[in-house]
Amino acid sequence: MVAEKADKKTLGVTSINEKTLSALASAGRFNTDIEAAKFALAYAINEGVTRGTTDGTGTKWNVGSFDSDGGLKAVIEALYPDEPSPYRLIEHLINAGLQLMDNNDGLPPDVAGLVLAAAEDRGSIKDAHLPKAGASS
Amino acid sequence: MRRRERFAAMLEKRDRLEDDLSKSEQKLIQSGATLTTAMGPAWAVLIRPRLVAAMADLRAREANLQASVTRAHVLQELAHGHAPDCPTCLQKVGTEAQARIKSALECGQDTGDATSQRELANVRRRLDALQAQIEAANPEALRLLWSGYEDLQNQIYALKGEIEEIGRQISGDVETELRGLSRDYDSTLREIVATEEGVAATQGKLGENTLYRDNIQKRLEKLAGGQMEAERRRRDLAGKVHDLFQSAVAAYREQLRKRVEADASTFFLKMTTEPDYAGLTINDSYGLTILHRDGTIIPVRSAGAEHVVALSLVAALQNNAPLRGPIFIDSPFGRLDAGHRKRIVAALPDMADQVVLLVYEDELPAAIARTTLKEQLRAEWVLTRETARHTRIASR
Repeated sequence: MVAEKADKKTLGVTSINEKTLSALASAGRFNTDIEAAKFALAYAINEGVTRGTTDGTGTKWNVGSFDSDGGLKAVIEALYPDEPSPYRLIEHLINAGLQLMDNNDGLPPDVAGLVLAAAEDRGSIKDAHLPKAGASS
Repeated sequence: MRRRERFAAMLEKRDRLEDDLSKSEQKLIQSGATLTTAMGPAWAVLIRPRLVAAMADLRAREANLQASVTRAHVLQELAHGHAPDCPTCLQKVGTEAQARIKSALECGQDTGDATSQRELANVRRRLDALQAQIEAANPEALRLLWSGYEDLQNQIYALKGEIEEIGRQISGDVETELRGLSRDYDSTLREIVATEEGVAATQGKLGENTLYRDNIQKRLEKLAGGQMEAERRRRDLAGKVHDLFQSAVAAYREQLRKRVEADASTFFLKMTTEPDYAGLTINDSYGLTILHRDGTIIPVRSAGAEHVVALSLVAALQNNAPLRGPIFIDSPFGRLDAGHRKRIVAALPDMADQVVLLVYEDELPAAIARTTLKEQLRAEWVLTRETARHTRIASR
């Protein structure tokens, strides 16, 4: 039996994703990079990124400041039932989302396009990419 | 001028566009600030359908857990005798049934009360979190904000492009205008130089002419030997005599004109058959015009009337000529009626001392001439064609 890792107290992004996070915060007119990181997380969920962990992340935010009311953790627990380390998964989803947004074309992420698409597709879910409980990367 | 008007219009347009640009940039700043506030919960917009679906699942789970907790609670109540009646069928629970319930509870059945309550609390916590995010996520509002923001960005881009284009046109026009002005300036300078040279040359020639005139004057005075003044007086006298002669000629011409006019009118009235005609008058071009009795002139006249007017003028000139001679008239009646013919023939003796009338027999029968003229018809001659070059004249 393998002991589960304890959940994370701090969150961060990889050095490669730092640049994308900065570009996303600017292009999306986000007030803070925490809001931009949450947007990347949502993008990853919407794209069907499954459970997993990301190595090589720095220490950027304390979970207390990132999710002061625990609302995000509750949402993740609702979307990924029985997840033992919701903040580890949150960090993974943030980095996966940033990685997906980086097209290596030098252009900032098309935040407006994503928002407009979401407004048009409201109510529909990409069923093929629904996160499945127990799946891992 | 047209180019300058166009230039001014472009400047005006550029100012207007810059004003629009400034306003649009202000709006963009405000729109950006609003958007920044709205983008806080934007992450929930992306996964809103998933949140709604998860919430539905959790609601179902919550209902199951609530039922389980309630059931456990009721059983506990019944087992310990706190509630004598069944809450479902409202019948009394007997001692035997109560013992079975208690036994089942002690055996571990339906002991999920505490566990279910913890899970129920967790589900409700998640439901609250999902509810809060769903309420915060407003895709339509966010879409409108982004659309407005992007429209403003596009508007600013278009305005900048238009201003830049006008700037290019203005700089091009200014360059063209400067080149044109430079050419005009050079040309005007050359004209000024040429004109100044012309003025200087003319002044030089005027000076030469003045000198020449003075020299001539001196030589004339020298040649005249002091008689210059006497010669000048003679010249003035000759001029005055010349003017007097010209005035006399004019006066004589006017008198002669009046006499000719009066005589022409007399002959015209003798010859015309129209009683409304009052006479003839000589106009400024020395032509004759027929006067009506009411004092107006007759603007249009027939060929016959032209003939009568011409004969009247011939007679008047003959009467007023210093040297008189015979009048030869060749076929004057071609366009005249019998009445005019008779009156003209009757007037012929007054026109001159001798009148020679050349007519065809058809034009004026000899008998009419004889009857009209009587003894004033002095001779009759007959012209007979012999060949194209020879006509024989014989007395009748």
